[in-house]
Amino acid sequence: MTVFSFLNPWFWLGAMALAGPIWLHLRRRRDKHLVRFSAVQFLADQPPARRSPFRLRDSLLFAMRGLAVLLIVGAFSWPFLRKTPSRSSSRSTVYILDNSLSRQASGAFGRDKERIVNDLNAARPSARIAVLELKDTPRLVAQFGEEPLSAIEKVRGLKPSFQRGSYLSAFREANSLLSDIGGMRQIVLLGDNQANQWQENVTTAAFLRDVQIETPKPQAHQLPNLWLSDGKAQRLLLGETSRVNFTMRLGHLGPAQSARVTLHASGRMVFERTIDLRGQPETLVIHGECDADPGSWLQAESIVEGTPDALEADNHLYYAVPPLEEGTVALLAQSPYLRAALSPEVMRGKWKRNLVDSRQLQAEADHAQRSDVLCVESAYLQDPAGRALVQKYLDAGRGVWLILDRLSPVIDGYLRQLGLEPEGVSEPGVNDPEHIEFAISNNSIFQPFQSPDFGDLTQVTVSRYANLRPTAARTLLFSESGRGLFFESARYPKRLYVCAFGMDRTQTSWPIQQTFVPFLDLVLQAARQRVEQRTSFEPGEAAVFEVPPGLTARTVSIQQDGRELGTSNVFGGVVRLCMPETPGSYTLTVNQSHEPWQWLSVNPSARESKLVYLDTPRPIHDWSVTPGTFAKSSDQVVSSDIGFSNILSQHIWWWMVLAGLSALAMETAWVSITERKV
Amino acid sequence: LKVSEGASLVSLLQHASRLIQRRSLILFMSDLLEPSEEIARVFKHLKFMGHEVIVFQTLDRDEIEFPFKTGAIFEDLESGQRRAVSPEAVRNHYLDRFERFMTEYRELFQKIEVPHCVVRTDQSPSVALAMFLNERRRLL
Repeated sequence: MTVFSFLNPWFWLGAMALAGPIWLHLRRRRDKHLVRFSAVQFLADQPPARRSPFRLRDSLLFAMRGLAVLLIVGAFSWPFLRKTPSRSSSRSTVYILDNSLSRQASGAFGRDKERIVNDLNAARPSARIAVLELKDTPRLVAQFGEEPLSAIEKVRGLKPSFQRGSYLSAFREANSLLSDIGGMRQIVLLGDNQANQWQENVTTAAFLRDVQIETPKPQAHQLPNLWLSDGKAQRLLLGETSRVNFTMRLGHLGPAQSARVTLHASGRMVFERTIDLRGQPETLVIHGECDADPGSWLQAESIVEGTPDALEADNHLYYAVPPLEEGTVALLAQSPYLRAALSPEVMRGKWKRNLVDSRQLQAEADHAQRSDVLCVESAYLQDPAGRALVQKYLDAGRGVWLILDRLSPVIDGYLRQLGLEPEGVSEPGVNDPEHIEFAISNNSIFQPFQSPDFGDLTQVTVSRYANLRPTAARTLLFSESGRGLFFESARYPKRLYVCAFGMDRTQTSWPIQQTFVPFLDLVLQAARQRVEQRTSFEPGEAAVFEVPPGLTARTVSIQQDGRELGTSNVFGGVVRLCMPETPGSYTLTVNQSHEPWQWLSVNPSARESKLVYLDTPRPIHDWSVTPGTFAKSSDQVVSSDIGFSNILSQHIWWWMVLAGLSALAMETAWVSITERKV
Repeated sequence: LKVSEGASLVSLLQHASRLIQRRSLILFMSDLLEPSEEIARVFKHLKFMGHEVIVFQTLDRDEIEFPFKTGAIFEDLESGQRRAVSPEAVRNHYLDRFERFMTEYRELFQKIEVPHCVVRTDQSPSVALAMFLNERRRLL
């Protein structure tokens, strides 16, 4: 059933069809070939002619009959008259006020608030209006039946948020609010129709029934924006210095030609770059490094500036880098380079080396829990105790770095158990070694090597290496000939790494390369079992922290610049905190002290920064029980499913029926009075 | 005088017979397009009362010749009855019936010795007057 409108061309077509015959017969009022004749009695056998059947003899009677037919037929064509939503008194309306970060662009959130305030002011006393705020979770700001002045005050008090919300959960919440209410029901979305917000819920089953939907009409398909996201920081060793490697993504949308990006860490500028955006992909990865004390927290902030930029709230990116915790590595290797690189002189404060006595492998296996990572050469796998030691580490959930300095049938068999099929040995020779050709750069081990400060991996050569075909492993490093040189086990992910060559000059030049020590450090870090304490959150996110036993904390507070923003009690060594609404750097303190226990960074979701909008969101149709009947924009309100109850609730329908029946009664009375057969 | 509707010739003659007490000359003008049985009875009654009656039967040329060519609706001037007529097809039939009708009246007036003058509406009134004088002279 479609909406009735007097402007509908079908209505006028029908009216003309109705008026056509009347007009034709009025034209035939005068018979052109009529002969008045006295001797018609001699023509009695000729067919009788109709005697002006359409001649309008009684205009009043005709008017009454026409009116009755018109009104009754009109009423039973089930008309539904369109009304202005905000003026309707019998309508229940839920406004979904999009208060996600993207709605801050161009001051749209303020305009949406004013729209609701105006509608609340203009609403009749019997109108029912509720307001939902769309944030991380939908929040009921004003409920049905609330005093308009109170609701207006609450709406005006809403502050722009930096969160991301779900349209689906907001519509579900609004639908549940309307579920027990009769009459006309309507949901008005005051948002930006952000494309990725609609595309998150494309497979949801239909749940909206008998609800009118009004969605916004975007002013533009997209808005220009510059933003920073996906900040990561990694501590690593470079020579004798401890450094932090920062990565971030610079996103750009629109006509901006360039962007100026700065990075500050603990009050010092790390870099300031002007990046040419012309011809670049939508997101660029930017790196930066700085020296940092490995034993203390590091706070950093990156900023992007450029024009045009419709949303400036996403131009900052905050980092909180935890201090380095010294790990332990059990070394079962003869390579002097490995022994030297893992010596306390090189790895002080970073890694503590435990040299394993090859004569006491079984005893070491019994105490495998002492070290975080085992670094072992394959020659020791000839001994069953060596294999047992490796298996002990893996079974205990600890890391193993296996270096294949030699192969044998026994070692081959064990490699097969680990998911690598040995296929002989390649020996290009010392005089014609193969270079490293390619590394999986998005892996945490090799990501820092994208920066030239850490050396060039392609300078590393291998002159002898095992040919391994991964059956349950992932290749991270490739030689010139395409052979895998470094693998991560799929059976023991992030715990077992296998290097296809020994760290000896007869097999590789790596130990004398600049990249060797950072590589060693990064492999051990990757293999190290550690419960990662999250330090980066989204605004308003609920987070759970484990309090270290040594802190004896009763309460944990979240602070910024010495100002306390919230406190929670510790239960069972765990505390639950809600992150602040505003992006920035924060600290956690225990027992109301001002000594930071942990640093935090709060950054908005990068998806909010992509200011691309949809004209006609498809999910609205999919969420409707009767698809294809939903509104497209605020200019056009269409019913999702106009039922008979909606039509019968209109006063005009009853007036049409009553007037039609009255006209019929008057016609009958008139005929009986005049006693004329028409 | 207004044109009356319906068959009223018989009642008119009956009214005249009641009204006229002395022997009189009655000039009767009509198209006589009514059933002849009743009319014959009334004329006989007028003759019995001693009145002298002369009938002028007034007919239109269309009624006598039926000259129509195109199809038309024929509406009776008195009853309002309508017939859809194709003149070419019915002309002969009409003229036969009309002639039979005239023959009946001629024989009737001859039988009851009432002068019968047929006057066409497209002829001059002097023709009717001449016919009256001839009939009058013949009766005297």
